[in-house]
Amino acid sequence: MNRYLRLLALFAALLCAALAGFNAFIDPYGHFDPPKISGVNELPLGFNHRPLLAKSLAVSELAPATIILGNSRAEAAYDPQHPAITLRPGYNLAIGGAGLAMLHRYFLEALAAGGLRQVILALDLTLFDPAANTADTSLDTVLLTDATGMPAGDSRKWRRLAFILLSGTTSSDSWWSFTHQGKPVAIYGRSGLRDEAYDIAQVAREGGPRRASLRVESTFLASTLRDVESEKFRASYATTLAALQEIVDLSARHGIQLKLIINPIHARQSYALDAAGLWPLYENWKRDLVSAAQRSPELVSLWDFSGVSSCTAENLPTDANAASTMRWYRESSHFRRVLGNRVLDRVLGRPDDGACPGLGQRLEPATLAAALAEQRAALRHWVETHAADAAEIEGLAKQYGRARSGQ
Amino acid sequence: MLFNSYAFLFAFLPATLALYFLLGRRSATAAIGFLALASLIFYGWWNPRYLLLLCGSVGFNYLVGRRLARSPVRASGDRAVLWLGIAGNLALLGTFKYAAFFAVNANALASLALPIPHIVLPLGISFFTFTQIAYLVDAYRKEVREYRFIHYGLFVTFFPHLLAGPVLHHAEVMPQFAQAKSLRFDPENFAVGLTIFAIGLFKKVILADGIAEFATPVFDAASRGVTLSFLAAWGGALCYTFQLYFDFSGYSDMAIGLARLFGIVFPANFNSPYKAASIIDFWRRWHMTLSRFLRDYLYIPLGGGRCHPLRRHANLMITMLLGGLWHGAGWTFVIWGGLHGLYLVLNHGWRAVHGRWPPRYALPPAPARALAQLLTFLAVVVAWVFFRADSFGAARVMLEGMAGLHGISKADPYYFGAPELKGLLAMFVIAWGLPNAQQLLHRHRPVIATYANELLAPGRLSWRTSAAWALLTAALLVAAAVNLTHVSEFLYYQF
Repeated sequence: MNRYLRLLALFAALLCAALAGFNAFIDPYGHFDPPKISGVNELPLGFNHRPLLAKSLAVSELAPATIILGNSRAEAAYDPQHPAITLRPGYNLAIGGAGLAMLHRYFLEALAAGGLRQVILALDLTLFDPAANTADTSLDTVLLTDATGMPAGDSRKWRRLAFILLSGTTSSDSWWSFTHQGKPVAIYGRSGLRDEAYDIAQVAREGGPRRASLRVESTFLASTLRDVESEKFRASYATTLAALQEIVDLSARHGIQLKLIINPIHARQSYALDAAGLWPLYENWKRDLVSAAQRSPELVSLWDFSGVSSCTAENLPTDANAASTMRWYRESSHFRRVLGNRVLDRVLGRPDDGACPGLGQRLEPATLAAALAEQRAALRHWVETHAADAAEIEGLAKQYGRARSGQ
Repeated sequence: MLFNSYAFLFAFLPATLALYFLLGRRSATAAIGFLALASLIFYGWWNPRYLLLLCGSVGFNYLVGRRLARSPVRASGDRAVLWLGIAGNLALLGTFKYAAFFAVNANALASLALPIPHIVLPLGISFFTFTQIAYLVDAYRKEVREYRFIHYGLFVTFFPHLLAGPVLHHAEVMPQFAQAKSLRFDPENFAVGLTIFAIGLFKKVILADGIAEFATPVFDAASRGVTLSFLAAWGGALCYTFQLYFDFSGYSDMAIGLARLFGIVFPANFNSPYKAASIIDFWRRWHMTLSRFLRDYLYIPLGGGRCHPLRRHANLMITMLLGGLWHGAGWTFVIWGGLHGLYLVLNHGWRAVHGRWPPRYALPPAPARALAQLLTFLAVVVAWVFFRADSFGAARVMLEGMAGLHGISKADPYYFGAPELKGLLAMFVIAWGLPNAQQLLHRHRPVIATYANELLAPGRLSWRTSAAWALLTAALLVAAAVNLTHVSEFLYYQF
């Protein structure tokens, strides 16, 4: 029996060592940087499953000077190596599906890493959806700071290391990463930017931008920003806004330049907000953003790219051209990097190539009312000139019980 | 504290084992006292406030039991003392588990406005209450007596069985603690216990928690009223069927393995229940110590099977309805119990007419047994729908889907695809094709037979102290341990 117990202990130790070696070599989160072998560990594909972990590891190590925060729209569209970003290194810390509460935690994490000088925070109203801002306890394993931004202690660092060497989650991601090298999956660069080629191919597989747009619009109308009149929503909104205000205040305190960008959502998405009766909330939200930015006007600027313009009103392909791709968008919810680059050009003061006239404007207290009125008028004009698109959106809103009164 | 947590595995358990055997060399009383104290720490880790409740319950039952055991023959007044003890236990259970259920239903039925108490169910209350009721009845019958408070305290609180069983008899456990060999480290006990524990941990962490990812969304959708297609509903029901089995049998294996590390052999609690060829057979294999409790302390006192068939069937129904209610304060649990009561009545009825009334089995024994196993399994799956669903509405949605009333739609977001089917197939193979832990370790007396001669015959595969088994056990332990990063509670903790 004693021999059996000794063997058991030996085998358990060997298995643990083998697992740690395998995970360190495959390196699914790009943390250990082992020698690369093509087709084995060349690409850290664990980002596909565990972006929260992979990006937090990268931030701890890189201590970036510029970070880009946002959700899936920002994840593939804003390039931290854009020429106008001069404060380097830059890192795209956007997380698909994130709410502002999670972005707040990641901001604190990047701040604690040291070296942060510029934050580009890509905003849209969905970041304030209560469903995207529920408490996520998994962050407590992943981040080295607690909810207040204070270091969570050395034990957290060791726990995280043990997790990425020995956990079943990492082992499963390593195996997936190993078996999917060279296969059509999303690839993340060293700067955290998601390669949009995979997403564009996914849209093509789905039947083209129109079909993909209908899917994302259905999902939005079915499940996002519901019950906005409820007390629960109001409370959640207030908490989320407070998180944004804290990002502004902390940026000011640390001398960090903060660029708030309202994403260039497609005109169909703008109209989906209107059709769901969310336009008053949307305008109030913009007013709140302006107020938040005013807490530190020297360091914080707010830009709005969501208005209807020649680029954001790009037509979806017709059924006859279903397979063709769009120039500026993947589908109506996600814009492409070519548009993201132009947004960064504007925000960071790089000369404009004139490809997107009317794209974006700075929002300030003095210009806010006029800007909102202009955007309302532009949307009305779009509805008049795109009756079929508008009718399609209204049909979806009715289908999901979101039609505003009078519609 | 959970068995499937790093704090338990790498701190509490090694420290407790080391100190227990260290103290055991010097003094049996000190070792037993320490183990009782460690068990209280184990319990209090969750919520120290409920330690008072546990200690109060132990103290009350110890005094009642002591009073019942003071004379070797039944004395006048014993019956009243016994009823007082049982009433005290049921009052505790009623207060903490059923008060809200009672208030809600009284308000609905009698248009009252009773306040609804919001009481957090103390972990393990159903188990330690039943264990102590059994002890009191055994003491009344003069089958056990325990004068030493620490020993009695350990009997109730011994951490391997405290939170979710097995439901123990004093007579089958405490004499083992009295043996000197249980106080010394024994490599065979350690190897056997560790192997059974590894099997249980693997069942819980890899199998049960793995399949839960498929079961939970389907039942959640049903509770939101989302209509489910045939495959989605059956997929969800089957996944839950295996989730519950691997969760609870995994817990029981862990409890049996942990007890064995201390040199204590527990009764069997599971015996491959999905291999059962009838519902009667199923209840001799599923949660065996609870079935035994219900039989010995409810069904038989009600008259059992030695009365008129109608009365016997009524006794069965009462036993199963109360068994259902024991699992949870909700009508879905009562329906689940009632459904099993009905199955049992039908099964007994079938046995009564079988052989005397045509048609006889037209099939050879092997296919007939396979058919009987399949029919039993399907009946059990249907009943689990009520057990898992959080309302009648959710159960109805599930059953409508399983009946095919909403078609077999591949567009269903809960469509049961290839990954889910692979997982499910693996569960079938393990539950139906592999021997259970008792069978594997049969040479080393892994369990006490809960019922006489009821354990499955050992198969050809048998655990040995070989390098291959050491490697397999190590692989099970490592696979489970590295997946503990997402800790999930055992399903039966909520009962």
